[in-house]
Amino acid sequence: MSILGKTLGSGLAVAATFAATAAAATLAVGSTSLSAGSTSVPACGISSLTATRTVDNSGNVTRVSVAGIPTACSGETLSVTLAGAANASLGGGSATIGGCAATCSASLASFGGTVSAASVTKYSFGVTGA
Amino acid sequence: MTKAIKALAKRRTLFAVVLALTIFGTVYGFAASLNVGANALSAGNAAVASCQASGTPTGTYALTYDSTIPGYKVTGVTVTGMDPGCNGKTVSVTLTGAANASLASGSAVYSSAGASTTVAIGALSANPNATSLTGVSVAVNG
Repeated sequence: MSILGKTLGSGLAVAATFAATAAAATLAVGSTSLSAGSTSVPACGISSLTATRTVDNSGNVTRVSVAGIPTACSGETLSVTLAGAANASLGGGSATIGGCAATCSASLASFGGTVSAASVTKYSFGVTGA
Repeated sequence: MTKAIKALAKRRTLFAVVLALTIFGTVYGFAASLNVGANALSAGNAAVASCQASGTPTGTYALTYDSTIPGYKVTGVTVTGMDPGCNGKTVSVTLTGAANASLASGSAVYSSAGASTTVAIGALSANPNATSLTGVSVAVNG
């Protein structure tokens, strides 16, 4: 092979090497799994509730009954807190909403302690899905 | 004499070719090195899979009375309906209110041990008034 041929061959090899080096690398990519979604938090139709309390001879609350709950709330959990001065909690508990006909009801007989009926100034309600 | 001229012309041509290749190679070599060093680029594609093949993750809420509201605030979220295929994945929950504004968020790792399909998120970034809650977003990632 002539000197010119050898030189041209070497030049082409060098150029090819630089071209290969300059090319962008193809990266093997993986991904962890991802699932996502959003939804509204529905209410079961309660606009207001009324509670009736039962008091023993000592003046303590023994039961709180809540009636007139929409049937859409059937099976959900009703939380009730008995509040006194400055909205402080005096006791509370939760019960499953049931006894449904035209409306549903729920009652609590345990409040985490003795609650004097005279001290109760307010009821707070919360309903969460089962 | 003619032979000598021909030989000289051949050597000049050869020298010119070698010089051109050397300059080209040097410049091209510098450019390639610069690209790799300063503008490295790698690219590829991969599918994003979902582990939730069946079931609908559904949020249920833990309520705690707060006299400062006064009323109930949300102190925890339990997500039910998890697909066991998501075992070990992180479940993130965001509670939203009016205008889809974020009210609170939290996350926990789901475990399917014991055939469980629930994951409890007990630590939220905030405990919003339950009456303010209008939406929930759930993401399973990992």
